[in-house]
Amino acid sequence: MGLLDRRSDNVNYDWKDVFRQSALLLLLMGFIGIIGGQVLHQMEETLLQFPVFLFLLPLMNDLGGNLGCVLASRLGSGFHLGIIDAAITDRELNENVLVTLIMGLVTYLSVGLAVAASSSILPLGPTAMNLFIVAVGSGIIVTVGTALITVAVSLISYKKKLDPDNITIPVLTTLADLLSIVSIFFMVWLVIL
Amino acid sequence: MEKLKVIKESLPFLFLCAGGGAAAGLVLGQMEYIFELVPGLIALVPAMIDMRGNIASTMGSRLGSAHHVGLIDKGWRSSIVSENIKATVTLSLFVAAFLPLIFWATSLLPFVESLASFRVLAAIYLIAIATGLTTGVLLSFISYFAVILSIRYDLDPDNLSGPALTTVGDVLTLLVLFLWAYLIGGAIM
Repeated sequence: MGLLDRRSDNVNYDWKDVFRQSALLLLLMGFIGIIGGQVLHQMEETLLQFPVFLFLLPLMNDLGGNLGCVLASRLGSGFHLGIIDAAITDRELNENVLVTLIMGLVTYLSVGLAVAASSSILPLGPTAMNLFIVAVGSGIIVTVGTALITVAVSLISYKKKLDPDNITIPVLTTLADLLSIVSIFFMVWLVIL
Repeated sequence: MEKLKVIKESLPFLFLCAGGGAAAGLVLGQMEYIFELVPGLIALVPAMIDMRGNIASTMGSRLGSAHHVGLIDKGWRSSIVSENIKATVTLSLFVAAFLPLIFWATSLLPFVESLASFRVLAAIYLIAIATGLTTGVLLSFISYFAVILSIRYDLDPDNLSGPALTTVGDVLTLLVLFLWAYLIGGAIM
């Protein structure tokens, strides 16, 4: 089972172990992604009335996934090195989460400013202020949600003796995608409608 | 703890990757012709891009861990690298083989438009397999180099490889998919 059962002096990544841990999980996440895509596809007409949504969605998806990937990768290495304990109270783990939240806040504030600034060029509809609030608000929801998902999945896979390096990223990117759809909808509904 | 190091290394990269995401959007915008040629293909694109990003960035994450426990410096000869490349290529093929089937199954759901014909399904299937194999091989080498390069420049691969690989994976998958859809779609449709 990857690195976890053996100590670092005789580590061996057998491709069959990686395949066994990842294959079905990837298909399951693919299934969820496809369903999400089909639902969005059906809502195309409605969505086209809200260009803000289409404009923000890929950005939110990518950034949320990337923030989560960095955290997941760091937690995975920390577990393998033994410098992070698989416990929610671990100090190193919490510092990593804090850094993720700070980075998320800085990134989404900048994205919010960029989106608000571009509203004078692009026909997005709402005012610059509302765009800023929607971008930053949904960004905060996505960042906090992604961080929680990443920590939860990493801890659970570690406890189940699976390698978090194999498990966490696929789960978190899929869930972050769904979360960003819901959070943008929520913010648009809250602020603009 | 090296909080500042994480922020210093990751943050500029996150911005760069947001730009890469915009580039991927532009490529997608140019693909209209292909999507008219092979109807239904567009619904498979997000899932294929996601899978490619997932497979590549999990490899980056594993190599990052291997580096931290001191095992990656042996370079190409290391069995960790070759096993990871094998895993990435196999997973890419596996996912490419089954994703179109799942996609086809969901097209039977009541609220989804059904696919036009067997010929369309066959084209989508071939395009998915060809794209999976090509990007699987390319991305496993790119993952390796992303990790090796960050180590060489004294950066923590954990901070960089995830965002880098998902973004490169997006753009590369779209380009390769475009190429195969053009060739296969042109031949079959």
